[in-house]
Amino acid sequence: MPFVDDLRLPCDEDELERRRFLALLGSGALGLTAAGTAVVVARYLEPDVLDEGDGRFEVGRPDALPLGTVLVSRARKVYVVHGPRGFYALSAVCTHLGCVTGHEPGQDRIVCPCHGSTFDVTGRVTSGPATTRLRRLSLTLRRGVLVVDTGQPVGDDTVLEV
Amino acid sequence: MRDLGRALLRSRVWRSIARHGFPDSNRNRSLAVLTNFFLHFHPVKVRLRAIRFTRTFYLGGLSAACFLILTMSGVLLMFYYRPAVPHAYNDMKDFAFVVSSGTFLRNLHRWTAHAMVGLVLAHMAWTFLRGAYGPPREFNWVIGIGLLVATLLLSYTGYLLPWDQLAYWAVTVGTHMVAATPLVGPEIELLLLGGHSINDNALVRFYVLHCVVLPMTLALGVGLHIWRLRKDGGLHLPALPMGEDTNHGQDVPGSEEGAEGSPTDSVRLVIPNVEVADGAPDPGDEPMVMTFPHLLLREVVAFLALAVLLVCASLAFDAPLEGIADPARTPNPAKAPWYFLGLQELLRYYAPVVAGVLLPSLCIVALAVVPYFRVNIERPALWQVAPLRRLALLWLAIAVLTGVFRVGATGIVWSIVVPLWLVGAAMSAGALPWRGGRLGPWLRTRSLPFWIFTWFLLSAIALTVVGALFRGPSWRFTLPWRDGIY
Repeated sequence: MPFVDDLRLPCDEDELERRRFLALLGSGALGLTAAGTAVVVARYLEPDVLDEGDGRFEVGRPDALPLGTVLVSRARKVYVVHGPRGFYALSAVCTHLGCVTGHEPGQDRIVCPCHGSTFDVTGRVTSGPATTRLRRLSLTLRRGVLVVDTGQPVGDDTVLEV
Repeated sequence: MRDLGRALLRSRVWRSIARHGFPDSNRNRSLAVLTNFFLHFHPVKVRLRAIRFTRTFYLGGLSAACFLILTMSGVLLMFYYRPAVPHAYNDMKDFAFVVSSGTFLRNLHRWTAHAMVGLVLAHMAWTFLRGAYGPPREFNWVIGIGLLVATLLLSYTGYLLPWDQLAYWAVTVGTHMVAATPLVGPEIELLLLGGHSINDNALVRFYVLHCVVLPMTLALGVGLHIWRLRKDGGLHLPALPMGEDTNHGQDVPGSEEGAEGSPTDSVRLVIPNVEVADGAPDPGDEPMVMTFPHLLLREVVAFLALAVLLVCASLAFDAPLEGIADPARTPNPAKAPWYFLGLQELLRYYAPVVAGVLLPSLCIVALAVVPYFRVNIERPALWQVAPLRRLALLWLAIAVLTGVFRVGATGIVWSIVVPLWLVGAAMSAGALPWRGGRLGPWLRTRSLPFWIFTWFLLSAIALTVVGALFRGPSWRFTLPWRDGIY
């Protein structure tokens, strides 16, 4: 069988130009298709509906929490504190790497078991490695009952006066 | 019975399967390797030096063997395991109490995974120390780094599957590290977990990554790694010294620099009837042996030794399983698997974006570019030119580095700084005028990259050991002999 060496076939400038254009068109189309596929796959992998529940829950009546109390809700990962200026809710999730902190009543401080960050009961960092304070969460009074919304962070000095 | 066996071997059916005669001639031994799909990545003949145990300690081959054992035990585990909450944890209990040999299989999978991580790390370190990544092998080293990352990811994704407290919190810490990546972090976390917390979605995603995506990637990578090794001429061996006597059946010169080990303790492998098949001339005067049986025998023995060790470990020690994952209660302390403890120890000192993202990425990039700078291959003598000025420069660099590791840290990172000082002291000792002995010349001939790598290795070990043994509740410093190991 004779071997046809295409590298030695004659090819004029116009033909070369045409081929370059077609090659560019073809590889461009392939590239676009690949990019489109990547976007569609990424979109597919990102869930549109999440069943992660409602962040709101009732804590109880304010008079059940005397001044200085730190109420710990393990299930919701929230502390509800009755401080000198009023009530506030703190997320118990450590701002360092997401471990759930614990309250040590003896020293009245909050400690993370994973890397040893400590916070005071207002949420301020007292020793690292965490650098940002615990998030404050929305705390409202509805029909005489304290309600926390874990999905709604609020400013660091927000307190609820009852 | 024997006749029956012979008749079977001579039958048309057998000959259609194995298309060569009984491997009792070098021609048939060559064919046994060449025509067998499972052996074809081997050459027909190998250099005797290349198959010595102490040349490589078979670290790469044993890593691949671990992967094989992991695939087999993993597929068996998949027959019972359901990636859903709370079935996943209940299935672990079933393995322990209901499924025949369930405990053993789970143990084998767990201990082999640990062994694989260790072997892959050791393989990398040994390849570095041997300088076996020079041209044309640079890219194969990069593939190797990719395989190390894939191994760690496999281990990490597998860690979540038992859905116990250990699994849940190790993965929580890991994903928060990912989330600390600037700009894309939270998006990657959402894609990885399929939500904002670790639950059913995350479990299925980790399951698919662990059982399909990563093993396929790893298998492909291993194939590529071995194929390239073969194309690049097999194992990297230092050139034989000129005029070395390399007669067959005699001792093979074992050390390339004459500084380590005495040449007389090399392999005394007496191979009768080794003729060079086909009469083809060997490249150089290197002693060669037939792959079948000499290399294959070593591979089988090494594999069996590994298998026996792992089976014994699996019979003797049970894989840990804590209580079912409880998102509300972080165990104290919450520790990652041993090979991530160095990282977790770093997290004690630095912000997550530094310890969890910046430093590991820098390490991986630094490792990947190693061959392109011909690191550790050429060894200029460190103290030949202006030793005093270089000494001053060295200690200035050490002082600066000591300062750099203090920036942004919550304290002095002793596990990094002390190895730095030790390495500096050892380097400086090389500049002293040593008289006689071996230590002096050895210290003097080490290159700068060797010292940097030693520092890296010592720091990694120190961080891991401190994280594993000296950290207790709330990551406070404890003494293992006083308070026990957490």
